Amino acid sequence: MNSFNFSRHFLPEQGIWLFHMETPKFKTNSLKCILPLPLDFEKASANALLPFVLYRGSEDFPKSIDLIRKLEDLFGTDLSVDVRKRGEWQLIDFSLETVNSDFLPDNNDVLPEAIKILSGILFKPLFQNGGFSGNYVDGEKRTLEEEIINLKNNKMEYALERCYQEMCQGEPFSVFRYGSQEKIRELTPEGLYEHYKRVRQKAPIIVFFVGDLPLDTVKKWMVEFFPSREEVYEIKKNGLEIAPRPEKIVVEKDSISQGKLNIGYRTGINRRDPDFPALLVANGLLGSFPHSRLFRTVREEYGLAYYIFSRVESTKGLLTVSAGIDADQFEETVDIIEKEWNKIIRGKINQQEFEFTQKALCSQLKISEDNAFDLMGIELINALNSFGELREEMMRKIKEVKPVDVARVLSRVKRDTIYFLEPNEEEN
Amino acid sequence: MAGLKETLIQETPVIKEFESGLTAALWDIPGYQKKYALLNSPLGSIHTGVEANCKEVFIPQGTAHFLEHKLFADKETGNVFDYFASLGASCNAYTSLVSTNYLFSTAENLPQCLDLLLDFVQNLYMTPESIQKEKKVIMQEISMYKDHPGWRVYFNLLQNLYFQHPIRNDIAGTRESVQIIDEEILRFCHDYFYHPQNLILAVIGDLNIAEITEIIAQNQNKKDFPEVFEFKKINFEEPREIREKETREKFSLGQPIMQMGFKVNQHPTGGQELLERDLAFALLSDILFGTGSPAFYELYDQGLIDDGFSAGFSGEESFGHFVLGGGTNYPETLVEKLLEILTKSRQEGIKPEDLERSKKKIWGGFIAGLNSLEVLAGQFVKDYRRNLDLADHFAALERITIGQIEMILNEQLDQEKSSISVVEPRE
Repeated sequence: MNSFNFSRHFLPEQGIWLFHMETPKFKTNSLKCILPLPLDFEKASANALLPFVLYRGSEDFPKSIDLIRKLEDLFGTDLSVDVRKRGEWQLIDFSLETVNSDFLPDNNDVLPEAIKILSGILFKPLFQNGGFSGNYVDGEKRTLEEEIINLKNNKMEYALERCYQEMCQGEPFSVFRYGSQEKIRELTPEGLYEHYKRVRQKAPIIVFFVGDLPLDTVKKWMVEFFPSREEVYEIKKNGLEIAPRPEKIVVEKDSISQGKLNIGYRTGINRRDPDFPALLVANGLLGSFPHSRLFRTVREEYGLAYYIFSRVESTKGLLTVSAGIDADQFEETVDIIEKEWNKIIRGKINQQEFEFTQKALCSQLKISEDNAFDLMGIELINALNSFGELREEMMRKIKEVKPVDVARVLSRVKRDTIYFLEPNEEEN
Repeated sequence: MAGLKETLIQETPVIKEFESGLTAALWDIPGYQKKYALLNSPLGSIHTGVEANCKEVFIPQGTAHFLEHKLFADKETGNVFDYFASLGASCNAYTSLVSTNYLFSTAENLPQCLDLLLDFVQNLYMTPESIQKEKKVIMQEISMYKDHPGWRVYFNLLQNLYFQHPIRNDIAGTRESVQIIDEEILRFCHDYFYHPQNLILAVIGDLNIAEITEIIAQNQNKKDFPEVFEFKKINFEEPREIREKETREKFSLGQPIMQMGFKVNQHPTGGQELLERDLAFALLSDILFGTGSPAFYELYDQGLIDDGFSAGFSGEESFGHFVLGGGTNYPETLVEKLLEILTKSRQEGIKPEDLERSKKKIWGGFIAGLNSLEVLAGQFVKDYRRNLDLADHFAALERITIGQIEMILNEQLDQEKSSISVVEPRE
């Protein structure tokens, strides 16, 4: 019986953390390659630009179209690249998914070839005139700048990002995952290449594999296709301390029809904290399910919002509540949220909603077994937090949480910033 | 690629028909933790009128979506979300152009969850107060979509392309149309479109098929259903022409978004034919505008598009449109270039190696999608309504010829029948 836990291995020569899971369950083999880089205002834009430039062309495939066509020929091998933010880590993320050999002619395995291509992208980039290709750097700078400008197109995400920026002003977490337009403009093909050389040498690489291949095979490919490196730095967990300070309220106007409210809280709790399972239950009770308090009151009872939910950022120790409401319902909504919060602190929790929440959280963890990338996502957060609990262990701890733990944990959580993106009156 | 499909076709659901008229597909997939069920009603946002018992009934825009909300919200017996939560399950629903779908996923208590799903969807309970309250929530939902430029640009385009066809309406309806939805029309739609004869249920996961069959049979046997009345969907006269050549809307956003759409006027009728049309358009889009096309990186390097650029077709028996576009700082230049690419492709034709590569890509992507129970169930329901199964997808993909794709390119993408929609920043 497969336990659906990753086995964890360190390959010191290559500076690779390999998380391996063998299962015949899926029709594809999936491999994810993450480079965690410390989030930093000065370097964030260079970090963000890097993977997109690398993906445009390598020594083996100098032209983008040839690289893409090669992947398509490997039965639609999917190689995608993105940059994410988890706590104060900026993550370069290459994800690979190939069709399992059972479904291919002559049972040919296309995965080794795909990994070789990925390794070429990472370690044998196209080098011209002392730097990266000027064309590729220009093109990707433009795209990245547009990504930043277009954050405004998604008002929910924009308002959340603005809330984080206001809340964590001066802390690395306030940096957007793609950096800033100003810093992107400063980047040159040569400068970026110098930056790349440092990342290539020092950044640890976290590799996740989920599929129908044994550890030895995957390890062999890692050793064969990835170069040896020295001086790879450690993955340290984020500090959560912050000096006490007054609460902040920020209201900004935009030409929109619906106001976007975000309330940011500091939990001071990360995955290694004994109170973490209780925080998950508290968040579930408050706002992450349709049976949660906020959905039931703000939406179902008062009809003030279509969406309202809360979520936890467990690497940085934050909790946010988000809702879409009319401008004149700002105060009423904030009030209801605060009231429900205080009710929970005072222990006004009924047995039923408490059990629903525990069940729902355990069910989510169980069901994550059915999706290779969900499994990787959970393990990634663990890897960034000095190896958190395995899923079974977390489920056991969630079931042990008592209402009094939830009340205690919420009283530890401090409201920090209220951010409201408000519709211009003349627009409606 | 011949011979490969056999491996995949081994996975097929067992199909049962119950006395009530309900059809269920039960799909045993060992090794999955999740059990997923999807209950599909054929009432979608484009159904705005029917003729029932020789009488025309007008269905206001947004009714299908309203009914979806209403079936969830406060039953006389309590809150649906709570019941699912008590079983460790989560439930949801969505309304599309052609159907409404109710779903849940759970790791345990599948029999109870199924009972619950069938009960809450088959039982419409409402009071005037609960209808009024739901209208408030839906107004907020409409506001949320109004703030979404990607959504606006698309619906503005549909308004340009169509005169009559209800596809031009927002799925949630308008602030005005939602106000006129009342108890009577909701009841009427529920009686017909939610009659077990018209519902399809798909249950998928690690299942005991005999047990599940029994549960569904018992559930259906204890209920009375109204008699099915004769009805037909009203056809509307949609001109071949387009309504508006271009629209622009100012918006609070970063970069402009441009979509160009072609109205397609020839509509196939059978399921196989619809599937082939979908696949032929998917291949055409990929060959001409996919990331592996010569055009993509040419436009990208000229700064005309970014990686959000896409091209795709949407169509059923009564409509069809091919849409391409994305974020761009130069909407006019991009339109010119896209038209040039189409003209050039018509002259040069489609290359066999491009078709072969694109087929491999679509084939691989389709297999990857089948890892997901949600995708399998959704695909099943859509296929079943079109009288198709999974194997048909692989067979059709192999069958499609250059001739079919070139026919679309030459005959169905007429510049005269194209329109442009742009949303642009206010400044």
